[in-house]
Amino acid sequence: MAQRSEQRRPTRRRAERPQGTARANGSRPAPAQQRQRHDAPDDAPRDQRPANRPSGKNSKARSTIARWRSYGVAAFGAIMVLGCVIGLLFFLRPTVSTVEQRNLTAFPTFTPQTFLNGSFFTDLSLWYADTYPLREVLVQADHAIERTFGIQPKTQLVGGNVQADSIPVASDGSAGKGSSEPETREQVAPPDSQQMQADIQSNVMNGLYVDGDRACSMFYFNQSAVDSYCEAVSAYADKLDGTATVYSVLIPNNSGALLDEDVLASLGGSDQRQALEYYYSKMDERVKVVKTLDALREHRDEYIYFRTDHHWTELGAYYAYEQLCAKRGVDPAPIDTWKQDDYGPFLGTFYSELQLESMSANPDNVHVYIPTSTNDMTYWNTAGDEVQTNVVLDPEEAGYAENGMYLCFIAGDQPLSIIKNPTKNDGSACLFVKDSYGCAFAPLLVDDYETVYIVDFRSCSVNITEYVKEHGIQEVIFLNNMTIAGTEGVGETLMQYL
Amino acid sequence: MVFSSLVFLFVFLAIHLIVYMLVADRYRNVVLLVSSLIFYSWGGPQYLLLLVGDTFASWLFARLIESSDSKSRKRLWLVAECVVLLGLLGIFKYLTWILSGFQMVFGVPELIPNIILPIGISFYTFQLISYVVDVYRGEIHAQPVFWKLLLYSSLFHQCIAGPIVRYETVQDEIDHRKPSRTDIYYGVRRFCIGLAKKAVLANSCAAVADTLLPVGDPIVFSQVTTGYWLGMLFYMFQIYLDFSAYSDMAIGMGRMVGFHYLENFNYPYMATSVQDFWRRWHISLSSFFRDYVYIPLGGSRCSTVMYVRNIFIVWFLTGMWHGASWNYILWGLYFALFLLLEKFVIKDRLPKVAAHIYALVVVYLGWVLFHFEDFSQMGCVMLGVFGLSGNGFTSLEVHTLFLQNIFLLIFCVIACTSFGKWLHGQLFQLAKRNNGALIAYSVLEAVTPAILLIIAAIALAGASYNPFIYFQF
Repeated sequence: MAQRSEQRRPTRRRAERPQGTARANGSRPAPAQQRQRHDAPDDAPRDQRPANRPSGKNSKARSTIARWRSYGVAAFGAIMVLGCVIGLLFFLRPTVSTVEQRNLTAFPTFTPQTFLNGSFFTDLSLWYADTYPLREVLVQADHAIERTFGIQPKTQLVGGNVQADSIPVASDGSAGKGSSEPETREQVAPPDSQQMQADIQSNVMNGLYVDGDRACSMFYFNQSAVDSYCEAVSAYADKLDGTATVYSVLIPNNSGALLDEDVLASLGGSDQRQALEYYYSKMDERVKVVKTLDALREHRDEYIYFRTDHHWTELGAYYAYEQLCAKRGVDPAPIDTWKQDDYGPFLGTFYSELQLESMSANPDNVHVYIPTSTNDMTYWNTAGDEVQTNVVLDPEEAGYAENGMYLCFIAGDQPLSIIKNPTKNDGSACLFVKDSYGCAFAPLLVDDYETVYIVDFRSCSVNITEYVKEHGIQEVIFLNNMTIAGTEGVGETLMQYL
Repeated sequence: MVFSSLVFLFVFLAIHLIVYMLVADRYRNVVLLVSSLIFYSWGGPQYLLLLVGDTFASWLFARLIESSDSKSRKRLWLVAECVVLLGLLGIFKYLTWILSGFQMVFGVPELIPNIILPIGISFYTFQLISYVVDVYRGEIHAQPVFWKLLLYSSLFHQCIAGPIVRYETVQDEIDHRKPSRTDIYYGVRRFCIGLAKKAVLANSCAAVADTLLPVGDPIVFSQVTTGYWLGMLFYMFQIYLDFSAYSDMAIGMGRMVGFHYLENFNYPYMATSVQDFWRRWHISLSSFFRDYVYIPLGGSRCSTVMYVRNIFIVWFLTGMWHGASWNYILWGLYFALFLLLEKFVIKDRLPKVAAHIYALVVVYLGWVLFHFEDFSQMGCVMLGVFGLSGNGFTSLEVHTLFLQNIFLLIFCVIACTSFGKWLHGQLFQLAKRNNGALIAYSVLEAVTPAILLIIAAIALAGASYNPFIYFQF
């Protein structure tokens, strides 16, 4: 830039302006009348335009173009006004997005402090865009535009450049070695629930392998998170020793259960078998470990995980349930004799994240087995209200959206739910501590106990050990997906209810 | 507030334009000023004081310079202006960085104040300095009315993201501007082009670049070679499309109301040398340094040693202007080296294609220096680009992203060239000769801004898509 500049010093600035930019901005703007004739295709400098007067034909062309351009300006103005007016229709603003399954940004609170530090207006901008009346239509349109950016290859990996910890080899590859000096680990305060859920979400969605209409989530090993989860479960076994038996059921991701070993190895995630062995090796010997990976892999040709959602199906849950029954020394419930139903179409979390047409063209179907002893349950929601519902609820009856079909199991994740089995009167009871994978699993437990208590560890409102003692519960079953269990903060959260 | 937000588009700009159109001519500057002050205060009103203070100082010093008779007195006020404005810029932009450097080397001071960078300070400081220097040089008259100078420095079109508009460019238009219908149309179209460029192209490029090379994230260290290539390529598109889109919007909004700001970009990725690149990239900044630093230092009309010194000073400052971090200075000096190389070694000896490739490669690698403030990340990406990261050549993730964005990539390549402008010119020529083409051209002219505006609004709304899985289950 600089070298050429000073050679024409006296008039440098005007002379050196880049071609095509100069005159229109000079210190002496041309009179307005002169500009009105300026209809060259672009901002060409005035002095580059032909000096001669336009011919009649050119003049006609010019007036046609000028007329249409004024329509263009009018259209611009109309869209701006329309956009402004729609934005002012406050009563049309949504507060919840069913597509994204979240509360939309709330209107910010005005205080002198939020005004002065700028957060009021920043949040206002966020609220304005997040709750814009036409938002869902615009979001769908945006997805359509983004689909034109390229080709969706049949096999994909979305995300997946994650630095996982290497998995220490368990000394004999088996469970029951006991937790290694849990007291040496620094106790970390549990994260706030919102943050933990965000971490879980990003872990579940980080590294999605797509093959046609199916997505599989990879697993990335985080040693400190896994250690703290195992310590938490072990601490319950210790504290409940002599009161209740603690079971731990860990669920592999769908990639670990379904994919060929060589495909899985090529994708670069952590080895789920090794990771599960590590989990087991870190559990206290009083924790009864229920291994599920082989049982699920044995049935990997069946519909045991959804394709468009990260969860498993009730059938997948059943194969894990069989392993639990084997550990408990009881026969599994004969679900073939249960009433069955199909709910759908279901487009789950992977679809929300990836928006693939291959998925929307072939959505999932939720095949349910409804327990025979009872289908009634009671739950208490986060507000503490008591709600009567069904263990397996027809989504149509409940009004769930296409992406909310998985809510048909035990009304989704509730802080506390109780299922009373009227066919049993032996005082048998279990406490089922679960994440969302437990939802499809819970109906399978109904026939086996007189009472099934269910808490979701993310919104649990009771002290688990006290609750177990108070209600004479004999068995405590921790069921978690291995990615969720291995997320920072989950172990600490579980410890809160000890 | 940022231009690329729904609240700017459908609340601020819509209401501003309506009010601007409805009021009488003599109140229009007041509307512009009030709008600009609201716009500037959106992210917190505290720094408005700084903007107003800087402007007041510049207004005062310019008046004092003009009313002073003696050269030395004039110079005194000019020095005062530079001390005040550059001092404030130094405190707000560089003090934390300088003190951190001191602390690292000498262990003092113990406490470093955490000063937040006031938005737009680099742009309006330079505008005001150029104004006072031009008054000092007698090239323009000082603005007698303070609020009109405040209008110049705070004008929301360019206050926070440039271009750095010289006072001489707008001095007459502050008081006498009458946009023609063509001006309004060009302004509208240019604004819509800029908005769509930002909301659709730049933001999409940013998404790919941030997925592959998220600044500050350790995954930068584990990317594969093709991931470094693609990540930096999308960053290269992002930074140009983003920055030039802001200039497009500024120029467009100015034009709608009768201001004719200078162009700030001229297809920089079509450059055939580093020197050429800097004639086309952020022109308002490079011409500022040329006119107010390089030439006063003696430019190239001096000994080779002094010339080299001047080049290094200018590029040190250019780098430093971009941010308070060593990587920006390194980035500036990197270009200084190539400028010297071109001046003394390469000269004009490269054939055109080779020259173009050379310039693009230098600029591309320059963006690695620019993008990563952390030197370990920067070093890793630089090695990675040359295939020396040791993380493998390619991955399914990179392959997926490449295919998912291949048309975007092609479109961005075209958007960085003057092809669109050429095509538009060809159509215009055709329209003058052929009636059918005239209708097609005219309709295209009419629908282009509207279509771009709608697409941009869609993209802005779509950017808020944020599925939250665990809301209910």
